Amino acid sequence: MKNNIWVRISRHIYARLLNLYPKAHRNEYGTDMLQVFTDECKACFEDGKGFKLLPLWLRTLGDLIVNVVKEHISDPQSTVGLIEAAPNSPLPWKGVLLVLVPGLFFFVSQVAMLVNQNEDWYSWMSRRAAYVLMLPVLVIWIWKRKFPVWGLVPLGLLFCTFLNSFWFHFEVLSVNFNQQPIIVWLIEHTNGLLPSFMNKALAITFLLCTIGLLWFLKKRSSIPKFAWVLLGVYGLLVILDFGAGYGFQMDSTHNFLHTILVIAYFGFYCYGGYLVLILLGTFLAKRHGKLTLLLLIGFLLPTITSSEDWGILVYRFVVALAAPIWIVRSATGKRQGRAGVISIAALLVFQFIIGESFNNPIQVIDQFIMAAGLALAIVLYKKVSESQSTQPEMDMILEGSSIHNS
Amino acid sequence: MTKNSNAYQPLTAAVFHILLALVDGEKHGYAIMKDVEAQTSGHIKMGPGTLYGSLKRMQTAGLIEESGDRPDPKMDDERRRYYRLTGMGQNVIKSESQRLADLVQVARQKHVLVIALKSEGGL
Repeated sequence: MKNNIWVRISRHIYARLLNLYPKAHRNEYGTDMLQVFTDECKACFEDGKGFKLLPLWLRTLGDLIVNVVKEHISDPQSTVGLIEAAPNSPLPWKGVLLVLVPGLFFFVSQVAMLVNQNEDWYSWMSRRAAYVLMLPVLVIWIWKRKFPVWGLVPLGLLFCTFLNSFWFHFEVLSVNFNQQPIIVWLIEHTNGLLPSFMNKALAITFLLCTIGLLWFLKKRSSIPKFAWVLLGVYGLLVILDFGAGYGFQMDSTHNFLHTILVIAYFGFYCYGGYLVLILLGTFLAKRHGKLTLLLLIGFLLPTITSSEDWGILVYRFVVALAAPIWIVRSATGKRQGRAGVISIAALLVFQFIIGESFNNPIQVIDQFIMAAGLALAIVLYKKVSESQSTQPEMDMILEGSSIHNS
Repeated sequence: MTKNSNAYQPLTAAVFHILLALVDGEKHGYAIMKDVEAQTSGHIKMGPGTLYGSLKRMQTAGLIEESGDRPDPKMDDERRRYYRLTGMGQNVIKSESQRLADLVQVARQKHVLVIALKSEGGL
């Protein structure tokens, strides 16, 4: 039978769509799949029922979507870059696209906010996006028993969401836990002590986690001297920040010890979580090297401040899209570290200039705290990624089991 | 045989139907697809993605193998790849069929199958 024009067009389109499959699968079965599809198309016309081509296409597209995803996840060759960073090479574009998904979520919401003034959408995004974006990461983690490199951004975002929204905006989808009857009852019947208790509990947890993680890292001798200096600077800046912001406003009836305790408590509540994230990142750096900086990029996404100034959009673009692309497209080693340092420096400059932080001494200290934290992360991650690349206990922590699929 | 055929049970619908299609002899992809459609009275229509994804996994598991022989080169395109059951594949389809037959037997004993057939006007 001479090929019908619709058969030829269908064959041409399907041949293009086959490019969506992983290269290895395409090379092995692409010709056969195209042949089978062409046979099916021809059969539709041989029956004299050309209209059957439409249901065939609908069925084939469904089949294509399901199987493309299945093959990409199950193909061992596709795990390179998608699940883990290949040594001494940048991530392939499909890995980059996955890294960018959280950034795209945020960037689109920011543009929408500036254009439509739709603050409801922005709020929805900033408070709940992390829960949605974390789901595919968890699925892959459970399935492959490996934490995917592109999951670092949603993980950082989730950590930030927990930290910022722990008590006042703990919302998942449409559920605001803060307004649930049990929580309301607890708040009423503890005379307002419960939120204060929860914040203190979180501050103490962060303090204990920080001490525990530092002890663990010290035991492994993976803390360079310069990291201790940065840690000290970080602590001093936090004290200075709260001293400037709150300490001098203390009621004169309170004694010095009380003031110190309040500074320490607020300091660990606001900045302890960031420190814990940086220290936890050293475990992930064992597997992902300096790409672990993506964890901090994810953490920084919600700090894209609200404003009607279009200049802020540049800052948002850098945080959400440009910096992650640059970091993940740089080859591992010096280039990646340099990309991380320059991106972070650019963020700080943007924040100073566009965010007009110069006018507010507290904001200036805040920026230096962020800079000290990021510098600490870079030093720690650099040290970890340069040391031995595989350690059994690290794999156990990261993968939750000793099963390797590679 | 390196693995017990029971270890593959229960088979997915796609794998079971492909194995069943290959019981008659070696076939190429499109012939398998049409055979599955005929076996199920058109209820299951496999797409090329499902078909070749399943064939790949079945080959890896040692249930089927590619055949070098061509039934009649004049009758068919030589470029097509033919697949046939391995010894393991034959064991697996037998044990799976037996498992399903046992289930049908249980359903009969509990009069579930009769009720189902009556409700469809079969009895």
